[in-house]
Amino acid sequence: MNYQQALINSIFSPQNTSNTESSKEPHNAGSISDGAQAALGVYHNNYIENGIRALSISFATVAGLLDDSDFRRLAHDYLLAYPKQCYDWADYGESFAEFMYDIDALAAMPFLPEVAELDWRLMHIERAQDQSFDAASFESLQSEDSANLSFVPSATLQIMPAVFPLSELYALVHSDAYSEGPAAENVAHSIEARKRLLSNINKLVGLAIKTGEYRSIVLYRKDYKGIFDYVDGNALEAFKCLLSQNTVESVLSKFGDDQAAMTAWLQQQIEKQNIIAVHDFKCP
Amino acid sequence: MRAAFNRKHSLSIVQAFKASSQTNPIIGVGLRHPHYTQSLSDLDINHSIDFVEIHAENFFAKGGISRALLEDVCDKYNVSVHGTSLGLGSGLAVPDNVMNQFASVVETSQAFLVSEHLCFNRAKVNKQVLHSGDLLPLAYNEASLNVLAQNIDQVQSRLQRPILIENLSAYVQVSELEPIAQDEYSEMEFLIALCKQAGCGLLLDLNNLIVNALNQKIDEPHSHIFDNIRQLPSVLIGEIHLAGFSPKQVNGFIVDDHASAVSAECWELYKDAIAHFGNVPTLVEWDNDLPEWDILVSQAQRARDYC
Repeated sequence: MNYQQALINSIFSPQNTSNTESSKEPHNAGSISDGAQAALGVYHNNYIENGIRALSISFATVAGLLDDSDFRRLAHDYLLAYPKQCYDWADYGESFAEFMYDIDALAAMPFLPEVAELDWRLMHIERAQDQSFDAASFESLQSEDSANLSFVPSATLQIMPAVFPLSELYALVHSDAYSEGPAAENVAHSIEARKRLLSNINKLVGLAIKTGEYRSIVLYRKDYKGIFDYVDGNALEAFKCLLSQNTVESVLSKFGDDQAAMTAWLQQQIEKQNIIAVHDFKCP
Repeated sequence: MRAAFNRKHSLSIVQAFKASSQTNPIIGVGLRHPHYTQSLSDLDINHSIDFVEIHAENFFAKGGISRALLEDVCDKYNVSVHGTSLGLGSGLAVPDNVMNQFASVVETSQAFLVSEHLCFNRAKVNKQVLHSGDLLPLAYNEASLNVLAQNIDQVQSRLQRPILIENLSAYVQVSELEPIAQDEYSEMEFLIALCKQAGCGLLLDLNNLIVNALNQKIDEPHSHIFDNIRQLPSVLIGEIHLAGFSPKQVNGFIVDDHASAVSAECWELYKDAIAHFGNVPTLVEWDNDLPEWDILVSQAQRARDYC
């Protein structure tokens, strides 16, 4: 089955796709007809085009922030640097964000790797296994000592550190309010709103570079859609504690004496099903 | 460990597919993302479709909207599950996790047909298993036959049902790449031998045969193809695919891009094929540059008119 290795190698190796450049490995130079060489070019082209399409879906925000030709070049280079090993294109691209850090041409857009990481996380949150919400288990909050209980967080709940203004960058691509196209309800209004948003993004990106300060976003799924919100202070500490599966007492203690904030936060997390059950340590 | 699939049963099940379509033609269309909403609506035209074909990989997610959608599709239509990533001619077994994802889609959809391709797609290069995401050609020889039969057996044993294997459009013959990998069978002989050894049926893709004949610059492609497919026992044909191809060539090849209406050549061949094989569940494939849903459905209606 050496031909299988040879053909696969040709697809992933750009030097084997040109009619003018005979491949050296694993075929012998000059041993393949021009027709066969051209056919290998078709398969290589299929790999690149399918890959670019897949990456543009998985990294829709990155694709939206770049010109089409720039995104194609970036995706093309990534497809050659990181040959596909998975079966499903949706699983391809985990290292796309990391790859971008080394691309000099992206230096003017230092936020792209973070945006790529956001896209990747949101897509996988949307594809994660559905979970059932155990409403009855919450009754134990009324009757049991909170030191003996823990919240069960949704498997889609995550915290991600971010330096750059991800919320604004995401809105620029996905929000209808800033749409450039003819589909925008009020074109003039959208163009003006987009200008303001771009100006704000420039300021925030500059500030992020200057300070290098991390903020946190919490990511979760709502109605099949991956969502994220900025979070800080007591709420951030509570999320961290929740994800570590500490006791209910520990999680809620992050709010100190601020009962109103604690109640509002807990209510929100139950409504959003970021907490899907309460576990009683005493129960097996 | 699962029991090996009983090959004796497989042929009778393929026959059952065919028998059910002899009296009432079973015609379907490929269901792709832009058509989800319309296909699930109450449009009258949707009643004229007997089944939809889904690509298994589009529903590999463990949960979320695609899984919910799959359930809605299954409530409305009979479903055929078409795999595009298993690469059953590869000299490497399908990993368990991928097999489980595939089986989960088949089981959830209660698919009435399950199919994959006569191809390989991956190989170990520099200690890494690389997956091309494409349908790559095989040598029609004993070694390929044994690998295919073994991998098809893995799938059929997991699913406990026969699958159909689709003939491939290929831009190169393996012997052009490696002279020692000579074909020992013609394509049709190979397909027949495969069905006998693996206990699978055939998904006869007429467009693939046409694209191959045109790329090979065969004179009178229609008679050439029809002479070939007449060698296939009709009992093996579990499904027919119809499609079109774009006139735009890549590196001098017509590419099987499923980006057009069913070609005139394909309709002609279909007419002769069903006259010869009898009515067979038939699917109109259109995967790229998709038309409006009603145009796709009208292609299915046209297929029905030939039956």
